[in-house]
Amino acid sequence: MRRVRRAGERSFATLLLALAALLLAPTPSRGERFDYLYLEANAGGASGGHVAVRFGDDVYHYQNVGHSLRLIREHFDFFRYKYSVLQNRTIHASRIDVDPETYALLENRFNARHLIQEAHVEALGWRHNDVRLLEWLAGAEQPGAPEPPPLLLRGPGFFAEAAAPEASPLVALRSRVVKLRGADYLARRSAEVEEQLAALRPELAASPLPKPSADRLPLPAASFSRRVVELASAGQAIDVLKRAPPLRPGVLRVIEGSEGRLDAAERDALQALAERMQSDLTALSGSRRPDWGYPLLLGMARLLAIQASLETGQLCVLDAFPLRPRTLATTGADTRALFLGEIQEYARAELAHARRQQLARPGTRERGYNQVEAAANRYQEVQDALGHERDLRVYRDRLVPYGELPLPSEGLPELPPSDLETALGTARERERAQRRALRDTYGYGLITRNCVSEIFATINSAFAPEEVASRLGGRVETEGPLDYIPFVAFGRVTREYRLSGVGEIPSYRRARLAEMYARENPLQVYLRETNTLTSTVYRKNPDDALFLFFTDGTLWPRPIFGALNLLAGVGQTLAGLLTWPLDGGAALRAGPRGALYSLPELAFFNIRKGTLEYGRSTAHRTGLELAATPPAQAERPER
Amino acid sequence: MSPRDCARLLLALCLVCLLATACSKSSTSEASSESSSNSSSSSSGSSSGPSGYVKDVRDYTQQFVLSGGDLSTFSSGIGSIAQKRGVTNWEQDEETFEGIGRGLKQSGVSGQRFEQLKQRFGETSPNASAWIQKGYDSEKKKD
Repeated sequence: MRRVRRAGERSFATLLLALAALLLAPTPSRGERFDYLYLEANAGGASGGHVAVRFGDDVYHYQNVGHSLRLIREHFDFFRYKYSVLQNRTIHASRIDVDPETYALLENRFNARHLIQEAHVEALGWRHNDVRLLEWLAGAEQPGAPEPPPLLLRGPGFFAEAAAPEASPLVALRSRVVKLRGADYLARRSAEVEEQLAALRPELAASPLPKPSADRLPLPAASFSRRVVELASAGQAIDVLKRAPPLRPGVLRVIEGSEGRLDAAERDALQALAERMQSDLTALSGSRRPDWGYPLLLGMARLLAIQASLETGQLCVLDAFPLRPRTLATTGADTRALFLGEIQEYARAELAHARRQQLARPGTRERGYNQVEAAANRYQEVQDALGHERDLRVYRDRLVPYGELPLPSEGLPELPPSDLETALGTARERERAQRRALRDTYGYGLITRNCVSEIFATINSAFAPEEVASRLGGRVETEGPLDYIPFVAFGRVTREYRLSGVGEIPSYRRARLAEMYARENPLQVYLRETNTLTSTVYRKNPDDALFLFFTDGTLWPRPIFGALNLLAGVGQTLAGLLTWPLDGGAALRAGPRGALYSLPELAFFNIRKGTLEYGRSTAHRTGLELAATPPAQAERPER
Repeated sequence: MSPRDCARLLLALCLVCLLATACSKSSTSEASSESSSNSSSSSSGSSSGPSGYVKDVRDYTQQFVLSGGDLSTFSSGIGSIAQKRGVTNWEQDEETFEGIGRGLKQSGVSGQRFEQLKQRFGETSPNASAWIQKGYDSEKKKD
């Protein structure tokens, strides 16, 4: 009997993995397919579940960030790891068959909305910076005023400030610029920039803002702080070109050992890139784009990094982590040690892949070089964290070296106090108005405007109303009160749209349990893994409130387990009263949350599944690898 | 409280649990996911067709033209998009101009207007006009 059950479970696990691999893998077809994803609920982030759409490697989903719905774009592999591993949530997918034109229109619609929203957010960020800079200017003369200004400049942090021997690549660049544009060019451009910066004036009167729209790109508005930063960066770039200084100590990261050793072909590729950059940077020095300063500073710093690579024979790159990065503690728990070992291997493979793709032959351009630079930074970061037992710096977006330093206070516009006061009032009103307008445009409503409604609104707006059904096989609206619930909407998609298949990626715990049931005694696995005290899959995550039993995957014992979980939550609350002075009220806050999520379990309903602080993604990926393109292979070869 | 009232209360609490934080960013520590890149910003898009970066420039250009933006402010927006994909000196980058060409086609720009824009952009790089034309010719217009 046990053998029959185990065989059955093995078959089930195999079927699950095969389904995921077959149905979620990007497969060639005459038409195109996109995926509608439904993520099961879990305690914390999305108790009602979540939805997303996937086009190739990109996943788009609306997320409630501070009561605004942000259209997030993430790589599928990153998304899958975040939700199915760390958040331990099963992802269900409906694959929808469409013709190539429909696919392109949909993808374009989501991408355009994402870019438009990013532009709105960026504009708001500059409004906020206007206020911060004007506040600083208004208080700069007062005693105790903060120093330096609260804005950062990108680029000057790459270079040594003190007098030092000139760096030959920058001397060569300076000669090319002077030869092309005249001996007095740098002095003229420097004076021009200084004059523009000193003459810069903020807006004194607020003109009405155009109403923002989720479907219309905002026209870049004049921003005082942005222009200050652009001009100050340009001034710094000219200064560096004049001085030709070496890199600042600590800016360069040397990739040591065999992982960083360059072969002849790679050295040739870097040499060719450096020559190309000399020409490109010469052109950039005469550019009229307003933000030319930082690219020139970055390009000059990269020239020095490439020179170091060619001289040492080891890959050298600029440190690309931001000034104030998020960090992960690397000592302590076993899971962290396991996790670090895994990402070390991953980072090593990613670096090797980037080098093969970008440095195997001459022709690499900036984006390709940045791929190597970013991969080298991630690899060396793990090496340093392991070698020196220090925290690991992490960064979710593309790593581009910023070389940030605070904006220097010298040379900034000097304004009469009355003008400053007026400008500050205007800037504050501008920021408030823009924030209000964006809240109106992107506001979140629990059952009127959420991740579900906005996905379908975006899908439907990609076509003329009468075309939607013919292009997708049907039309899904979110008009009924239950249509806003993710799993209800998922059901409607499977009924309405033209599907080529459905599949799922099991949550981390479910996938691991399937493996265990297939190779161990099922009763032992059940007894060990059903509770949080002896589970080998789940380690207590500080973000989770206390609970004792997992109730997903078990139906009939659910109310009993729920009652015990409820008791645990109540117990944690009571204990929290005593430990308040010691833990700052953490247990007192977590206890009621744990009790609350136990209540649905009394009624046979499961939300909580436990989350992970770290998860071994490679183990989880076994058999599911086809569901996503590994990031290391996602980069298109540079031309 | 009657059993019926208890059931109602339980159901209400369940619904609160279910809906209260729908679509929210999870409180779960996600820092460990950031130990590798969210390479959306470097993804290639679908297996055929332009790269993710070219698509971004294309779609931005299309939206910029549709919004009636002034060309003098175009470069600020392109600069932001390019930087997120690892390109800072975009004026010398072929893919950027390919994306601009594709975006002009997408937005329905043609004839003399296209030639004017091509010439205007072409001032930044000797090859820019050719790269724009290449992008324009390779993009299929979608209505």
